[in-house]
Amino acid sequence: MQEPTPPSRSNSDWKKMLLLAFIGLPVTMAALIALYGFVLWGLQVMFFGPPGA
Amino acid sequence: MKKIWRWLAELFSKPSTRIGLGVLVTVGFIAGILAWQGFNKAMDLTNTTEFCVSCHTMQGNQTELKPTVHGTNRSGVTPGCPDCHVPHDFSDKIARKMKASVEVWSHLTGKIGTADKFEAHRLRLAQNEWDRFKANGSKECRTCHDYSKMDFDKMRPASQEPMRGAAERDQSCMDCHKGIAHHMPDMKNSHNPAFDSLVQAADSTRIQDGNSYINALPRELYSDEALGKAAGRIEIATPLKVLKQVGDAQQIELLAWRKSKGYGRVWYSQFGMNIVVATLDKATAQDKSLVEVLESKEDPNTGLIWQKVRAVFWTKQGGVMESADPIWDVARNSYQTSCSVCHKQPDVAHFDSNTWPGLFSGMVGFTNMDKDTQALVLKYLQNHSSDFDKTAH
Ligand code: HEC
Ligand code: HEC
Ligand code: HEC
Ligand code: HEC
Repeated sequence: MQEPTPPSRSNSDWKKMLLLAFIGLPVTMAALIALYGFVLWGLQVMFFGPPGA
Repeated sequence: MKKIWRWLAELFSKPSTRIGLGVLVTVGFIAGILAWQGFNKAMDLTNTTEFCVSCHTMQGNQTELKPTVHGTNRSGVTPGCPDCHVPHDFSDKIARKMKASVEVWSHLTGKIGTADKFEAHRLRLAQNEWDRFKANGSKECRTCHDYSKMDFDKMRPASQEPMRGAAERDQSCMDCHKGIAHHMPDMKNSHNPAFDSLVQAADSTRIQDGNSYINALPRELYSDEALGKAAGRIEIATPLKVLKQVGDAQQIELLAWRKSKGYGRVWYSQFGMNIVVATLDKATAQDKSLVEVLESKEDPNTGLIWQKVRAVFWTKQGGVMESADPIWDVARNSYQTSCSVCHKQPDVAHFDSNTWPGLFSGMVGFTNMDKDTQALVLKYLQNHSSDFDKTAH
């Protein structure tokens, strides 16, 4: 026996999905890549030295 | 905080009740493609010369680049800023871009916001680039210029020898081609730390009136005890005699040669040799009460009359050494490091003291010696030239 879902629920599902797919995850990706870049740069400054050949 | 976590957890774990799985995956797939596209686009957009120079601090660098071979040339193939400045490897590229974001920040916050401030930081910035090129063997240059594809015979004669050697050693281009794209940062006024050791050596000299010493650093000459009237400048490694010391001043005697032509402002250490020991102000050089002419002699090579001269000046107390050896050590070091980059350093005694100045001034532009070091190295070369080293030839 399935619980009846209120109609507003489906609307919010769509909203959430779109928010996640087009804003949430892309922003997270950019942030992670930026973080990766900063970490790498930090390591270069402190340990590796400038990138070698 | 907890609420946000809960909301996030629910967002990810609670299955959607209304949207079909296929739709979900499709939308996610499309979003992924768009995001990747957008990311690449952003990487490319920020990798154009236009983007770099949209910030006005960088326009100076662009203006400087324009007239060089990498700005305009007969074939029209030119690198943009990122070709030389952005690593091509993904990780290094990202790291460089994050670093650049900080550079943009210092522009916006005004740390390096104006042309003057940029000049002030320039040496440091250039040094960063040199270090980078050194570490990666000038990889960015070599995506366009490949040693293995160079036809050395087609190069200008002046390029052939050094470039062949460079290819053999697989050397980094930046060892020799500094300043290829922009103006060299101003190094002429930078300070050679080796001179500090000379100051120290001079400080420990015990000076006795009437003895002969060697001037340790280039400095001012005065004609009065109060050191108020400037008379000229005495060069490094010039022999002098200390007559007496009065407080902060000391009286010295200079014995030198000059040409009896013009004002006789430039004094040389030896008859017929252009080794500068002092340069006097015009009035001082002409002052017969100050400068005593001891003898005159004609130089058979040039037909010029040379005069042996003697004068007494004042300088600041100290700054002299008993032997010139520490000075020559500093000079030899600079000579070896700066002049052996492109070719084996020439045998010093291979040329005479009047040939060296011309050779040296033709070469010194290739190096990054500051002004005092240049004068010092030239002096070293002259004083160890074939005129003095009788073992050569
Ligand atoms: C986009 C590819 C490219 C990159 C990257 C590049 N160059 Fe060049 N470079 C050229 C071209 C093309 C010429 C030849 C122009 C001509 O003579 O028509 C040239 C010419 C030169 C010359 C000859 C100058 C002269 O007086 O004839 C030197 C030296 C040189 N490059 C050094 C470098 C160095 C050092 C780097 C790295 C910082 C570098 N190049 C990076 C394309 C490039
Ligand atoms: C050992 C020092 C040295 C190194 C390393 C070096 N060069 Fe040179 N190169 C020279 C000198 C010196 C010249 C002649 C410059 C002049 O006359 O102005 C020259 C000339 C050139 C020329 C002009 C050739 C012509 O047609 O006359 C090019 C192009 C060039 N270098 C590119 C490079 C590149 C690219 C690298 C790195 C892969 C490199 N050089 C590394 C010393 C060096
Ligand atoms: C041919 C390669 C090349 C190109 C193209 C190039 N640069 Fe450079 N750049 C260098 C080198 C090499 C240095 C290191 C300093 C030097 O040797 O002049 C440098 C140094 C710099 C510096 C550090 C400060 C300084 O002036 O020394 C800045 C900023 C800079 N470049 C910006 C730019 C911008 C902006 C552009 C595009 C308009 C650009 N560069 C294009 C090779 C290049
Ligand atoms: C950037 C590379 C480079 C540097 C650095 C360099 N030279 Fe040279 N040098 C050359 C080239 C190329 C030639 C030969 C071409 C010519 O004669 O113009 C040369 C030739 C010479 C000659 C002429 C040899 C002869 O028999 O006529 C002398 C002397 C000399 N260099 C001295 C020096 C001294 C001293 C320094 C240090 C201040 C120095 N060089 C630094 C590239 C360089």
